[in-house]
Amino acid sequence: MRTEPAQPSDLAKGDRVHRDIYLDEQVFRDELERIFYTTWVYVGHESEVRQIGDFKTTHIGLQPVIVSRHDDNAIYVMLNRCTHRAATVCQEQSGNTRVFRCGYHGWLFRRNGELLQPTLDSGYDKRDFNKSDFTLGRAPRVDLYRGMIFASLASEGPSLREHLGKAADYIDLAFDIAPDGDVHLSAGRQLYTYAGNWKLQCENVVDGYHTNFVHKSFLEVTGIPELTGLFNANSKGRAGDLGGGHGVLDSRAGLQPMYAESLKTAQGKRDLEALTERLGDRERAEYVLMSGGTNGFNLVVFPNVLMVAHQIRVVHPRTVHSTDVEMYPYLLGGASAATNAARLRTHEEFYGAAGAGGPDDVEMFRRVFEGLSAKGVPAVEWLHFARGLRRTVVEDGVEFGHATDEHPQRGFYRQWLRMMEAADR
Amino acid sequence: MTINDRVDRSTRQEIEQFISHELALLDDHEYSAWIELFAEDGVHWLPSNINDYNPNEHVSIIYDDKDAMLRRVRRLNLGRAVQEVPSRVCHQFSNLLVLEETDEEVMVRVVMVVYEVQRSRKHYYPGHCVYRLRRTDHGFRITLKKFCLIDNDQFYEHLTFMI
Repeated sequence: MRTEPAQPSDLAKGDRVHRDIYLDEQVFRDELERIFYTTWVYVGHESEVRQIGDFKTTHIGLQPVIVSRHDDNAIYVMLNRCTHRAATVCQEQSGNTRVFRCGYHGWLFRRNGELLQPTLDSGYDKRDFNKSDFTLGRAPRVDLYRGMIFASLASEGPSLREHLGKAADYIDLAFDIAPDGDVHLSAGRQLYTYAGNWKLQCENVVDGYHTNFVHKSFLEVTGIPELTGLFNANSKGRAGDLGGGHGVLDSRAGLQPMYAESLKTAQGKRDLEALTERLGDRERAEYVLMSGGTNGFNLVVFPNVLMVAHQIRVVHPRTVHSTDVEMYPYLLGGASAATNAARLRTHEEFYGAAGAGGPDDVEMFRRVFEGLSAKGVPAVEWLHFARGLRRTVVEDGVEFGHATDEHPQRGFYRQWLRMMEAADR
Repeated sequence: MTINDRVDRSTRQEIEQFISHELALLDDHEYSAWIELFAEDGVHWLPSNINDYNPNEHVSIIYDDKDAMLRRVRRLNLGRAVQEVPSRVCHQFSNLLVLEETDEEVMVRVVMVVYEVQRSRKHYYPGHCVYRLRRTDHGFRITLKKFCLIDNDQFYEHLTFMI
């Protein structure tokens, strides 16, 4: 039994993690400070705040934020906290507004967070009240990649592009498949919640080992042989550690015969022509179409944004053992109405509260959470991620294993440890 | 919303009887018979976030045509993961309003509550349900069942039973 507070290096050992990583309150508080309030965190997509005055609300870790497009067309990420007495100034999930008005004492803020006027302002004397001191708190760094808006609450650190590293290549693949190169998060948001630590969802989305077990009923009913073969022993798919905590479960090798067939159809040929023209590169166009967007792979962008199937998914830690998840199925700009409708039907079949797959994953998180209470003998202190330790292929600096291997999870926890061990700021 | 208050009593009774039967089939897990109540072009719809939108542009919790209903039922019957212990359900409806009536079709709205129990976990799902029912030689067939849960913009644990 440990009596000293656990050090991060006691908890993440490369091929395994200690149960406390999912249970310890102090670990959770440190994760917020050293990971969520330090690194780049996804806060939304440009298509959600297209017009001046558009806004959405979300969280970075536990901190409520507003993503807002100001008169100057710039996107601001501001803390949703009145600079007077702390009430949130925006209650809606999204909308369009001229100002943000705090409901508590009526203070008004511009769309970039500047205080317009305190109410009943004769109560404040210019000698001790300076309006500019009361601008809403702003994320010091905001940057976009392919329309994805990221914010960092640290004023210094790696650039967004440096942070994304090789994950950017997969984001490109996901969005390049849109005929006009742009995606739209206009199809609504779905939510689910589970009693369990946030990292369980991040591990799961690039876990090719669970699919044929947890999602057996889905695979049996769909009966598409290409799908069932993706995660068996003979799978040609692979799981990769992209560095920086990002990971990929890449199923393209198993799906490409299917995509090759669809490229031969009249529609497939038209798609290839159109994409070749837009990208100016036939080889790249073919590569993009043969990748099937995020149908061909699952991606985790450290720490908490996931790209799966037709959706961007955001994992929000709430407490050490409760997690909220948002799913944003997105539409492809320039695609036919029928294509986008089919994307939604495919999404609904597997994901969402009534889907064939998502709820079964959540059921596993519930079981893990219950099982994590077991302790006291060595066999139940650790969770293991040793699969494929000795079958690594390095390609372009990325360590890949078999589709069912745990390279992405080991990479995730390597970055977790790096950030948790960073010198106190 | 317009209300047709000139619907005669026998039509109301006929509709009530049909919906009671439909819901009893769900409560009894008689899914094959339940699907038979849908017209070939029938749709089972649970909107997400808001109640009125184009389902080809906005995501739904469920937007099943008859093929998708069949896949859902086959999956449920396999009884895996969340449904290893099948949910027990009880559907209740009231406040029947006939919105439209023609010789071919009636459209009605009811208040519906679904009670679900799985292990010791108990949930209830209230909402408004619109039925579009086509008159056929075999009685009514559902062309649309649209169940708008009043909290469909919120978090759900799961809705993997036949709601």
